[in-house]
Amino acid sequence: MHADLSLQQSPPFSVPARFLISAPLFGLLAALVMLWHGPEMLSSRWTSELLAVTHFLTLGFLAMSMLGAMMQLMPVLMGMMIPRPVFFSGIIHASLFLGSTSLGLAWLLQINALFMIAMASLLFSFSVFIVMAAERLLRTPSRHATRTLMLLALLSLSITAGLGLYLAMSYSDAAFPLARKLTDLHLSWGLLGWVGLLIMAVAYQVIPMFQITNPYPLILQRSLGWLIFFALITLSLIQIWPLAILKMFSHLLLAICLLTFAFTTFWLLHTRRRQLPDLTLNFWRLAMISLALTALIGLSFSFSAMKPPALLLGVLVIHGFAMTTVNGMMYKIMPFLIWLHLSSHNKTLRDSNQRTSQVKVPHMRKIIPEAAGLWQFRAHLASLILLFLTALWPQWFFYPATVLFVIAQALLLFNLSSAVHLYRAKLAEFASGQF
Amino acid sequence: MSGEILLDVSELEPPEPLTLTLESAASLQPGQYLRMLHRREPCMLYGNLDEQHFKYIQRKGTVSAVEVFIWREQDQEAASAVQSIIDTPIEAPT
Repeated sequence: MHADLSLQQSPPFSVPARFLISAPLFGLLAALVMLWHGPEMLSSRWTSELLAVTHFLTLGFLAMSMLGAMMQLMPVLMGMMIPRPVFFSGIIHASLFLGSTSLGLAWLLQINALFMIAMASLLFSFSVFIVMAAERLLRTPSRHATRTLMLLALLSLSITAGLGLYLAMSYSDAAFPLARKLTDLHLSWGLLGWVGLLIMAVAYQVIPMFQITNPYPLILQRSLGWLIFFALITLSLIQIWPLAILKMFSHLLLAICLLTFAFTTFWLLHTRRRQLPDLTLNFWRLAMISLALTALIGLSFSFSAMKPPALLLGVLVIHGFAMTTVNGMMYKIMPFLIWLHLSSHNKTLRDSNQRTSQVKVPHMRKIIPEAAGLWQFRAHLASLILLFLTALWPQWFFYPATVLFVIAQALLLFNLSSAVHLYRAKLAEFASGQF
Repeated sequence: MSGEILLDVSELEPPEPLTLTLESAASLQPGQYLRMLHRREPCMLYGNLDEQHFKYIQRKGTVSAVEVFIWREQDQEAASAVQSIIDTPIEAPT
């Protein structure tokens, strides 16, 4: 017997899918730009090529997939209805896609007008999303820590976007002063505030749910996000009061919070109730190792007079922590969505008496074959290790790392596209009655 | 208890808890109710049960975090059986 399922609050498949499928396109684009420009692009953290690659990854890959995941998870996890989901996801996705592409190309081609297009598109995209999501989150009766963290993540995104716009102004208008000292703040709010808090918000729900673990300790769920947010505020205050003690305090608090989250997650995964192999588990473990390394390296440099290794930390936090988590989650979200929508389609057909027989909906684990995901994970892991080494010895490891990065992103794109193709093929079967 | 069908989904990965519960509910005979054990409040279950004309009560469990009792809307015998369980104070597991 098959279960009859209705979608409930879940939005149409196209709403999250368009974001999820676009993300590896930007990952691939970033990798190809690296391959094209070679190791010279790493000569400084300010080269146009490196700035373009960083934004293809943070906006095109990370923000793209995270906005899509939120559009799906907010209704399912918190029972919120998103108003006119197809319309809103369409305009948010299109403007984010245009903004991310324009910003990267503006640096690569050095065309000022593209900065203006990027700023307008990204401002529009983030504003619509933030207003819509915050309004819904504030109105939901749920008081789960996930709701609070999502709101803090949205606030962090607003600050990141505001700082980003200010910084981008200096590239588009020569009369505007270049405020590079704000760059680290832009990075901190973006990667630890927006990305970090949202990953925490989602982890609190999906790790116990999908990995069959105990829940995160309540005290951590309630405090960790606020402490990170507080540390980011004190870090921002350094711009006004450049006190060494304030800087030390912020770095220490951030490192303790990140290490606590990483070790707690690692412990929960280690003591999970069902000790079955799972692809997403590999991604979570790798992400937590990267996060712990980021915190430890960042902290050790804040206690020394040496300049922190920006490229190394960038690799660890963007590729190692954030992209790894998102990549792993995609292997849960995409098959779940396809299974859910096909099951629901089954029910709709039966309810309308269009057929009486059962349609075979593939098992979730068959939608993206485990082996295909595992090969992609291996390529992702290898690319991370080599990118880490590239940050130390660019001339030796740049090309092997980049080639593996291209392969990892291409495999991810292939795996997700194959799943969408399977979904469409099944829908076509339903429509033609060939089941 | 002959009218009770026990279903423990507390160690299953989504969507199995949802599908197994709906499948088990669909096969309930007159007088029978489902006692579902889960580690968390189920996502998407209640809306589906409403649509399929089932009644349900959730309470804090003794052997699992959450217990959900499910029975057919018109089944008075099952409803009474569930009510008598709900009215009985929960005993701590020995």
